[in-house]
Amino acid sequence: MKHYNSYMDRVQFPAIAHLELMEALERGAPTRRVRRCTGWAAGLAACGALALFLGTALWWQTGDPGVALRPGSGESPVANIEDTAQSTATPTPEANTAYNPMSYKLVVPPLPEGYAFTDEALDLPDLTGEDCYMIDWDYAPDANFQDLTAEQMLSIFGTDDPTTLATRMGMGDFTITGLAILQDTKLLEVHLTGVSPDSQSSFTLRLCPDEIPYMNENYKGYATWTENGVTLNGYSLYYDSDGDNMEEYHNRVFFESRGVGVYFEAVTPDYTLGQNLTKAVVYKGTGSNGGFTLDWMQSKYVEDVEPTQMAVERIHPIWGSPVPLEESQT
Amino acid sequence: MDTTEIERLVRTYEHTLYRTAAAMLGDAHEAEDVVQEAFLAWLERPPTCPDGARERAWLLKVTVNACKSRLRAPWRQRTAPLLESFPAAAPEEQGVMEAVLRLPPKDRAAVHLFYYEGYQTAEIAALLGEREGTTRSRLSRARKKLKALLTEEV
Repeated sequence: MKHYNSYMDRVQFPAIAHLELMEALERGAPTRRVRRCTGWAAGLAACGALALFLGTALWWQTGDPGVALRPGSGESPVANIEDTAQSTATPTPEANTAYNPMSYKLVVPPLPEGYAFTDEALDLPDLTGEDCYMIDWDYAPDANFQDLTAEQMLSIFGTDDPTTLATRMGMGDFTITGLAILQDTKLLEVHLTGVSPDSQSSFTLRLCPDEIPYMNENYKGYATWTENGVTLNGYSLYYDSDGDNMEEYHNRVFFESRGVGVYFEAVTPDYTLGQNLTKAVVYKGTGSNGGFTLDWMQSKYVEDVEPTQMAVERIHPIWGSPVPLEESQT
Repeated sequence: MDTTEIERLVRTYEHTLYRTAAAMLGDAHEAEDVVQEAFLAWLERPPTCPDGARERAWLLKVTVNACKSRLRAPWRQRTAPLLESFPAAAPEEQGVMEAVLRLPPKDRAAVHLFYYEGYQTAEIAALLGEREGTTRSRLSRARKKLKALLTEEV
């Protein structure tokens, strides 16, 4: 292994990365950097070992990344290796210029060049055509709805950078709107809706403190599996839900992790997009580095915000009939 | 924590952490990010480390955990940063580097920590968060694979 050691001896933490590190330590937060590509051509000319390094990059990329996201599947996930030789371009400051933290719409920047999602799949059972039972429910009559600002929506994902939603959540180019549903000052649910620019794809992410959100459609036969110690449930449907004569994939997962109940549905004719969105929610929701957080939503800031919509009538979750106020408050 | 102390830590361990992260992740930029995460973790929750060996072990453990977390992620940054950030391999290094890079990430980590950092199997097991027997098997398997790969090449 002496050759390995002699090579590693020459691997040094780059000077510019050192400066970025010191800056991050000064700020107490990670520094998001603009990746540098200037050394690329010089590197080519200097080392003359393109074949070695491209090969090396491929091996790095195809090494088993250890993802085990597919319920009931023992297959080893493989990273997508197309375009491996692309230079990296992480989010540039320009990409975020449209971001307005106080806007009620969060426009996620496109996925920066150089990023890709691995192509392992969540093997969700297709329950299309299966019987399901419907629950007709609504919120308590004294519930109030508050539109969320872009900043508040980002806080749910534990970030203040919208590009993170492109690179980590697969939501590039989506426009997201959000609602917080509160009863007095108690947060009942957070509801995020994302729509793609062509309106062909959408997602719904609902988060409840301490319990899985009520679901309108309830199927038997969904898959249950464990990821990072969290029990997850999920299934998929394939049908035309919007009458445009084009079937869409409906990937649905629901679980509770870290005191937050999650229901997520991705609806899209694009199988890969649906997979990416769903995998990202599963990973984020079960991740050891912090799942979805409602802490900030439950803070005084939300309590102080005036309701932006009127309360709606609460319907009994099972019987579908209106519930007297006294009962709904018990 | 005072500035000189954190600067000392960075100067002392940045290359060690970077090499370990690069060995596990195979991506220079992601390795840089992981090094940041490790030092930021120190800044947020400074551990009590009475000596340098424990400082190093704490930082390496955080680095390994950050790498493992990234390896679990469904996303992957697709780059060719090695050209930019890694030195070219000399002809005599090429074969062994290629062979090591073909090992699974955790095996690479074990190989790196054993052969480059000089840790014992029990220490590597603690760093990787696994049993010592698992680390021994990992190293044994890696040696066999490396031998086979290097023999193939010859």
